[in-house]
Amino acid sequence: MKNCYKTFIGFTVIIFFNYSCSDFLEEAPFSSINSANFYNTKDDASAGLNAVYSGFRSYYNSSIYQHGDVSADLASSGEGTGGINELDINPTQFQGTWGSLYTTINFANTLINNIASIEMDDDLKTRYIAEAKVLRAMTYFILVQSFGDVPLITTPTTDEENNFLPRTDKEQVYNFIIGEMTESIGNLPIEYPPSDIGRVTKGAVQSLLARIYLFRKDFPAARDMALTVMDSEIYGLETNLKDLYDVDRENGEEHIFSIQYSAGTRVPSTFTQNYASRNPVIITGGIGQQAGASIAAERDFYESFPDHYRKKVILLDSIPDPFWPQIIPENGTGTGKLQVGPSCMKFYDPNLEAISDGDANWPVIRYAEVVLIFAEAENEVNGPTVEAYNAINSIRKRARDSNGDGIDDPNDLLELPDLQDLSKDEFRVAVWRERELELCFEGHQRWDLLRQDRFIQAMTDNGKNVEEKHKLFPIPMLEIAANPNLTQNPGY
Amino acid sequence: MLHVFALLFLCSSLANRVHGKVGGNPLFEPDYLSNSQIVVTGQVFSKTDGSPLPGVNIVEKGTTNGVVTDFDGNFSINVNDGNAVLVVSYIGHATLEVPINGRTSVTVSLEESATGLDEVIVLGYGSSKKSDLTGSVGQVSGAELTKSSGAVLQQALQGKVAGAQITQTSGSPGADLRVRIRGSNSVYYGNDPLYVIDGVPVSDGSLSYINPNDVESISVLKDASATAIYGARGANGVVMVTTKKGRAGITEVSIDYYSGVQNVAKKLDVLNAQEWATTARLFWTRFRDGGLLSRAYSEEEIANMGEGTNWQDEIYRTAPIQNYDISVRGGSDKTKFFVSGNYFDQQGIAINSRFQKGTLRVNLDHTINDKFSIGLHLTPSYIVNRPIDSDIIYQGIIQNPVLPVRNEDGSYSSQAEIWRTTGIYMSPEHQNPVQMAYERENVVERSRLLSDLSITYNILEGLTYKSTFGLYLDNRTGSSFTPSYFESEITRGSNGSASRNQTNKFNWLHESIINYTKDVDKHHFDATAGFTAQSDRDDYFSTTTWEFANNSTGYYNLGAGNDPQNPSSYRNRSSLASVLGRINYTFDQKYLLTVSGRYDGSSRFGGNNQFGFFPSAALAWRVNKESFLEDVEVISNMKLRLSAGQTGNQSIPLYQNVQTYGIGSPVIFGNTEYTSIVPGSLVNNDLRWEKTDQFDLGLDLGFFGWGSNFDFTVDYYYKKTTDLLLNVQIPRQGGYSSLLKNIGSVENQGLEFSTGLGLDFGELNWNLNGNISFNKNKVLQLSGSDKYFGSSINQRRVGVIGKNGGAASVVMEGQPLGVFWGNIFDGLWQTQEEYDNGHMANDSNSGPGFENWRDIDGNGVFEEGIDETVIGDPNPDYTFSLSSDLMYKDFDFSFSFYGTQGNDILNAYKIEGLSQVNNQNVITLLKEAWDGPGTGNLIPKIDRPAGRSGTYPNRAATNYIEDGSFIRLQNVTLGYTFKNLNFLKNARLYISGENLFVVTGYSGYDPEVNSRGNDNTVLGVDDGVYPKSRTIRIGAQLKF
Repeated sequence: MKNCYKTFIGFTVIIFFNYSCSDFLEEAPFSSINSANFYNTKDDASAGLNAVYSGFRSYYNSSIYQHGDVSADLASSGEGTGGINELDINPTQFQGTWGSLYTTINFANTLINNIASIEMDDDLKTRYIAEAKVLRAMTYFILVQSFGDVPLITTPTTDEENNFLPRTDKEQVYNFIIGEMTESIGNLPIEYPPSDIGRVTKGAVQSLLARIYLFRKDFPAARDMALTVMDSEIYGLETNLKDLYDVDRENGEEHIFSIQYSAGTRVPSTFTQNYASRNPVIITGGIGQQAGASIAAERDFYESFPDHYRKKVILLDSIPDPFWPQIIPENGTGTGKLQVGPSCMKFYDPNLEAISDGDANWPVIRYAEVVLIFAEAENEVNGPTVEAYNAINSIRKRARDSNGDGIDDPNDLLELPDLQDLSKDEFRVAVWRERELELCFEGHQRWDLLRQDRFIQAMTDNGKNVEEKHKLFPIPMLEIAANPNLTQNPGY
Repeated sequence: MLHVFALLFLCSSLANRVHGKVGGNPLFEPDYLSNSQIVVTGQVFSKTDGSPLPGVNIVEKGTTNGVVTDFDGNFSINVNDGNAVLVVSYIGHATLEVPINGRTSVTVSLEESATGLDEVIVLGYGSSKKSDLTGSVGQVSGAELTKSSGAVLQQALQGKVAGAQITQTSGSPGADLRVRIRGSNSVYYGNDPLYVIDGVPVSDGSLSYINPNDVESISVLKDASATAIYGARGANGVVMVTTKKGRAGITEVSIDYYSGVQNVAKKLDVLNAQEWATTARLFWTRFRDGGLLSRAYSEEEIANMGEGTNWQDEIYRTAPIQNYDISVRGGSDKTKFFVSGNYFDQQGIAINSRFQKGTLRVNLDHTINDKFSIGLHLTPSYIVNRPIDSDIIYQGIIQNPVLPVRNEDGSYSSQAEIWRTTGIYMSPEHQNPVQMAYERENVVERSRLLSDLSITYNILEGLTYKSTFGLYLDNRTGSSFTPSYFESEITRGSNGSASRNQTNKFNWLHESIINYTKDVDKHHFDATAGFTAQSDRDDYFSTTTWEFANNSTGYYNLGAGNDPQNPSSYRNRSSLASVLGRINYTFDQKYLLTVSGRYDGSSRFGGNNQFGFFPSAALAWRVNKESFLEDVEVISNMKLRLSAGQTGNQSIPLYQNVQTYGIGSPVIFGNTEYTSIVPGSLVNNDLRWEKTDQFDLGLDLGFFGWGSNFDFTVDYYYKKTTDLLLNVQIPRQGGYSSLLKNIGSVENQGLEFSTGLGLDFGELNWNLNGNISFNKNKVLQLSGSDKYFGSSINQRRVGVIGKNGGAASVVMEGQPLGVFWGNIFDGLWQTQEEYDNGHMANDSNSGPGFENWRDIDGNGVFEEGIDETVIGDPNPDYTFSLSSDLMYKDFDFSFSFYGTQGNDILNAYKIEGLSQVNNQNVITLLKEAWDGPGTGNLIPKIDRPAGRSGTYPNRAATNYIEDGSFIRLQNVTLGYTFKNLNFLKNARLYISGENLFVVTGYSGYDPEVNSRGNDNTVLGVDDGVYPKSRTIRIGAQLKF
């Protein structure tokens, strides 16, 4: 009997340990990808990198122009729908932007951290890391421009540690951005095969770095970097300005780096609708639903725009417009008047009527900006040199070239003559204005005004009651509530 | 009735055969005989009426040697020697120990158990005599359960156990009930008790697969002392269902049959065709100064209208219900069995709804030898449920009375068509409910198998080891089909839709339990220890196809649709491994101590907290056993109980402890879409169960004398649940917005009284039982915000609540769970002047004749979203029940009442009904609408203020809150038993009525209601809930 008992006890103990000490209690989800089976292969790395691109895109879906143009002096938010107005800016806003930017950063940190242990082609691995680092650096650039000092997080969030980091001095953040991007230049290809277009190239990083140097007022570095891009002779200006915005000619020689959208996929472009200024005709020839306007040109800006070819290409005030014969009022009649303000036509997609979603890409940086960076930086470093004039005048020439043949017609030249004989200060102002005209509605204006130290003046002139505090967006209130280590920007 | 006779005939022949087999040799030879053994014969009688008792268990004390009395109460047993003691036990009677004292013949009279103190109460991993119980446990006998005709077992439990609040939230046949033991502990995760069937904890609380006739008893474990042995699953109480076991002795065949009819217990008063058209015309006359009057019927048309269609008459019907049940129970001293079969068929009172189920059961016990025995429970079941869309119920109220069910050409009438063709406005998205019920198919089929096999090993005297293997399989297939010709604004675009979804569950369990019992002098020890491992797996698959060119194949051939939708599937698995133990110690039958605990390891929790320990302790003092009370015969029981302990709730979503990745938004390179994979949610490695600490103080009293007995039990409890799992907003800088954390806290405290009075006047027996339970629930702590809105109640009917995300309830610190939240209604603005000088003067949504919402913060202006407050509490102050069982000679008469007091209901019919007369029918209350100063102060003017658009903003407000207190006559039964008929042992015929009346002030269908079923955050909302039926049944119970 004693033996029986011992056997039984032994049996019990064995079975129990079988359950408790084995992996019986370790359950991994069957139907979700999880840490046990993800980040093991090259394809996992690729999918993880895609997440960084996808996250990066989210800022460009609407924040880019809401922050860059609507909250500046050349665009309004349309008919009271969406958008941000300096007067309304308060700490209850921006949580979405903040969260989505940091989500992208976490995606990048996750990839960069996990790719290390993946066995894959080393060159590809290096390239993937470089792509992720550039996107992460650009995300930090957006953050630091918008909010000033921000928490600098470079490791994936796996516990609550990252959540409670304080803000890092913005100089340190800028150093990080420039360091990461500089380091990545050599690890990125000059171009990609057609199936990979939209990824970060060497030229894209160089161009973006030139922009960042310009913003940092590091003019020699900006000049040199812009010159490097120009001298590479990979990029050029689209001859006919209208072709630049043709959805069927995307990713041309001027498009250094664009966010890719494609009709008929799950990533369609909505810019055509958002920029339609509530005019249903622009979107669908009047057939479809009215679009909510997200952005429209301010009347003052429209009126101040020199009346040359570029204005016709990018701004539409009322229809019918002889320059836009395909846009006709509903039933051929109707008021033809846009409802909110002049529309920016840079993202016009004539196919929208048939396919319900659009193709228009977002240009993160294009060659015209690089040329203008060079012009501005060259002027700051060496004064208005011939190179500086050539640069800015190449933009003006294309802007007035109404038949797009690359040859100056006298009439065109009359409307927008070449610049010459300017002082250094005059040249500076001329480049700024040229940027306004060339890059308007592409999300630059607010940041340009800020770096040019004329934000308050320009906005005040525009009738907006801005204060010093508006130079930075407020840290979202709920973020400060959740992380007591965060401080608020002054004035909010 | 024909059925009854057919069954009688069938079973009489069957029973004859059974008798023929057993009758000749009612006794069973013992396994072994030794020279020293002596044979003792005897007879057992009932002390009450002197009749012989069949089926009484006679066991030689301290052995497994036992026999059972035959039909005439006779027995014969071989005992070891003349000093043997016979233990004579019989259900419902006090167990008696009879010393042989050398006799070879004994006569035993068993007394009916006056106080039920010898009743055996089933507990987790064991049982206890009621007298030895230290915890708070309510037990209900199987006989009580069969009084109800509900398809789901829990329905029969309603009102039977103090502290168990059971709410039939829907009258739909087979619908699950909301069960709360001593209140709700959790905010978002699992408030359902743990169900344990014959010792096997099941993850599926939808107990339609248990045949009430198979149930021996149900015990409800309430306090921590009783539930801690279920550790991480015990916090919400435990419901132990024990099915009938075989009995050695003569084989008993029972046949139960009933058949009945059901009707809707109440219909709501709605406008008839002429009234509606008149009212709608009035609306359009006033609205925008009559600019849209063309949307109304002309006065001439209205004059020619009659009453039109009362859609409630069209969707409700008199529906049959029937139940067939046969069971056979018997066995030898080695093998005992209980087998049964059941078929239940309930057609719903709403057209085209039906619930059918069939269950089989085999309960088998076999003694292999004096060391080993085995037991088997096998319960296959099959259910076919054809529920109807809750929209049909709602539509029965609001469908336009002007329309006939069918047009003259036989097609279904359609509001959309009227609107399109005549311009008379009626909501085009509202579908003809009769058409919906008949043309849209929706079927749920479910086959389940619950089974377990156990082996018991008697190691030593008093020491047993039991190993159990349990298996639960559940295959649930839901199918639905909407034909392409079904024109609907809702389904427009799909052009016919078929879908099927399938859930397969596979759960297994292994338990090893040791039990040791020892008596030393006045000390009694009973120790239980063991370990268990359990794994639950769910597989799900669902697919839908649109575009059917031909409708004949329905959901049987999804390939016939031309537009397949994305399928979805998943597999989930969780596991639990535990060690458990309990020690009961009794000294001198006076002082009782129970200590129990469970150590649970769960796959659901994070690396840092995978294991948890749940202890409890209880003390009881049987005061009546003290010398000073021992001689007071009138006090049969007086026991004080005290218990405290901790239990857990592990019902959280799975895999919270694993870093998952999900498919993110794709990315485009070139013109091609590429998949992105993104991190899922942030993992909290510190995640652990919700913990409930409970304290219980109870008193049991029993009095006996003058042929009657009186029991009284009172319990006070206090429960505090901490570590509630809430989604906490976290800084987003880490890339995540929320994290599941153990942070919140809720308390429940209450008092439970239950009492029973038994009167025995010989031929007249009367038992009266009642209980009343008070529970007060309070949310102590939330995170981030002091208030969260509950789930939206809009479901498909958007716009019932147009604010706060469709929520009418909040979870709020300092308040009970799910209190209603909204505006305070201060009547109607009577005059322009009053309005202009009031706090809503510039509110374009109001005006004279419209609502005056109180300016709660007193700042002089009514502000939407700010002037809101708690406006009602759906939790009752108390629930109560009273039941009476009267037996006179061969007649029996019983009834039971159940009710709640002090709970509020949000009547959504009113919200929509009073704002939408222009496009749908409404309840007749609208006739009292304001029509000029002083003409009314409750129902707003039939019009819409100039600035108001559509239904803006339908809301929860005090004028839609009603008192939901009620008393329901649950059941009345009158029966007559024919005894000793020829081949029949007895035959009982009865007639029974359920839900014959409800006393309530509530104006909707039924005050026992919740449109969101079992949701933790929403209760007491009445919005298109299938009403309860009134049922009359006749039945026969035959025993052979």
